[in-house]
Amino acid sequence: MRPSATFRPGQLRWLLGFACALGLALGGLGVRLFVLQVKRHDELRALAMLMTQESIVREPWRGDILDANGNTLARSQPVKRVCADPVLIRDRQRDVARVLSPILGMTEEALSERLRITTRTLTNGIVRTNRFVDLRFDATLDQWQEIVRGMGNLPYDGNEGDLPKRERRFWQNLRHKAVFGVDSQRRAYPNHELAAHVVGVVGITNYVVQDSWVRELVGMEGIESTFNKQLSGVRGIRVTEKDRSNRELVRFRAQNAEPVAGLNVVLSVDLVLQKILEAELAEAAARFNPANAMGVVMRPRTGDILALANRVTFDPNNVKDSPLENRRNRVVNDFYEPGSTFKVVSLSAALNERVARLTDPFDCERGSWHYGGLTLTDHEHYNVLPLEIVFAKSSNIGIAKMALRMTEPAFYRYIRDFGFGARTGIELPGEALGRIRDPKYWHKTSMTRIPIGYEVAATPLQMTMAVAAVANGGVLMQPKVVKRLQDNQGRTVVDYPPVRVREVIPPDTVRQVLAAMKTVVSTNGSGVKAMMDDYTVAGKTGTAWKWNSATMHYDKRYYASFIGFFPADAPELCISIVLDDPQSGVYGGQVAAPVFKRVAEQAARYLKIPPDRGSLAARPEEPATLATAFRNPQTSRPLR
Amino acid sequence: MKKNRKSQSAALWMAPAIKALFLCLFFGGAAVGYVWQQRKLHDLDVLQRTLEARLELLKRDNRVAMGQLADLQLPYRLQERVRQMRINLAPAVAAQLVRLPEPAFGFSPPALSVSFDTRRETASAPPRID
Repeated sequence: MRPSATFRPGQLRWLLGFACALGLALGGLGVRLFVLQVKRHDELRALAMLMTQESIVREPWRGDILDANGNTLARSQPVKRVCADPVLIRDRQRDVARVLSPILGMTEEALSERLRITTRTLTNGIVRTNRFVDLRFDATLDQWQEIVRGMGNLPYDGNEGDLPKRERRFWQNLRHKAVFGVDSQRRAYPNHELAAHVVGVVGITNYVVQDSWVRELVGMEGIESTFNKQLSGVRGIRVTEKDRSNRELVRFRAQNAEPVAGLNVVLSVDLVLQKILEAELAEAAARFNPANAMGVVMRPRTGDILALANRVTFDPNNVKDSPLENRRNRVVNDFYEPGSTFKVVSLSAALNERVARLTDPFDCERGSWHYGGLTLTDHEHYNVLPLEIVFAKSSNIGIAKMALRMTEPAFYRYIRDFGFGARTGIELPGEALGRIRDPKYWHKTSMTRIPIGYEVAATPLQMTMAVAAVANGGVLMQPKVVKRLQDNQGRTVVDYPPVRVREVIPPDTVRQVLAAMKTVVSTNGSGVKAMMDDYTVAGKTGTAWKWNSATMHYDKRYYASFIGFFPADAPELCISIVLDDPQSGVYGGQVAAPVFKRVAEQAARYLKIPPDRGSLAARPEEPATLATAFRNPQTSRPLR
Repeated sequence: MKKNRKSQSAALWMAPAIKALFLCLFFGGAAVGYVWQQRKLHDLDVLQRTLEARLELLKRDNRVAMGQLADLQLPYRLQERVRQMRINLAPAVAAQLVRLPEPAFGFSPPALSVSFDTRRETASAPPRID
């Protein structure tokens, strides 16, 4: 049997004392543990998470905007967001500012002020110093390299080896960690003003996601705005933990959703045609000095817009350099009284209602006609002319008399069917409706003014689409700027096929209207300057008084326009040119028609549209062969 | 008897010692293994971070290069370069084009006529705007 343990009284006291002390200590620890782990659990957990956990919102790469041939119109460029940690800079703001100010383009004083340490108190009472100061949002990669080099070579006055270890670490942090870069993106428009109104521009927005500030590009105008959601992509998020040195502990990543890059938007716009159109508008602007010049090149069969331009434009790379009104896409956002180009609609309606024929004679009253208490005038003094010549000469009186044979509701229906008074549905923001009043508000002379393009307001695009409907066999198409959306591998994600809106006039009426429009672009018509050597052109000139909303009168300012298409019998392109208030030259036939011709000739050459007249027109008995094709057209000798 | 007791006590002493040794080895090995694993995880952390940073950098460089390439391929830039290099490249003139006959895929007039008439009969008045 084992002997029982016996203690001497002193030993027992010690033992009891020790046990009590241990018990008390453990009890105290237990209480403390209870307080920390149970009572203050939520508070301390939040604090711990604040110190170790980090949510990083990952910015997706914004998609590109491409033209029909894959040329870049807008793309995102990698840049660095330059930031600084004032805590690591301490009192060396001046030294850092001296290095950074020439690169960042800021004064040393302003930069030093920004690098100063400041404190703020959070809502939970914790005092925090500013460890994140934005110095520049879009430093190029070259600038960033300069910054890294400059900071790395930051000089110390004296022998650094003599410094204590703590100071040496400070200098190391100052050189390599105090100024840091965050990957970001900037929108770049390599073509500058070219197609600026179609492509649009982006702005910057800042907001809080998962307790962190996110800086994002947001479309403000053009396709950048309409397709902002598709271009933006999907943000990624990474919830992770970091160590004392602020380095990520990868194994503690709780969430890691990769950002999904935005889709690329492929436009129907062709950069070459856009360049041709803008160059010709610029030349017209230099020659006629208008307030603005606008142009649209489109494909009537599909409604695809191949070029759309405003002379009053802006560079999306430097938006601040141009006034706000330059960003207005007047082809889509503004409306005007179209004048004589609207006669295409009136003629179509009258012919289709069978109230007139092209051979019907109309008395043009020698240029002045009183009707309904008002006088209607022509710019020339015509007598009796057949309707085809009335249209070709653009006689207001003849067209007004033709329109009076129609009923108001019937004419109104045609106007609406041609797409006036309604949005065309183009994928550009802020499209104007135009304006056409209900017939019950028309007065007696309305049926003489609306047919010649007054008392009705349309956007240049609406007018182009109406003429394009004639070119398309009487079928109105929806204008389209976007062809498809594709991912960054070039795979089509969404396709936008042509949209047929409605049939406006049947083909037999189209043939008659076409004949009249061809006469306009002949020696008998007002659009003779739009005639092309190798193509038959159908079109209509327009010269409209400009309404002055300040004086509430028409003053001596005009819209000179020409809308036409070619080859007339198998139209490939419809081109609209509008000059707002040209200073020299007034008539559309004099001012806009030559611009149409030059644009059309270059576009035809570029798109290799087969000629339908002249020496190059294909003849069935003489099909082109390789032998005949590679001959000099002047000498007929083979080309080498 | 004495000898026997001695040998018995030695056997009794050795067994727990060996057990203790194995336990120590087990716990020591587990601790070393744990530290080794943590170290490995840390190394993998660092490696993953480095590789991710490298990947991001490569992606960024790729984007820069793609942008430069896209800029160089812009039609008017190419035209400018052709002019600078004086290699006399120009688009083919119409006379140099060989055109092959293609079947026409235009609209069908009779079908449209029918649809137009149908529409006129069935269409309601367009919405009013004031």
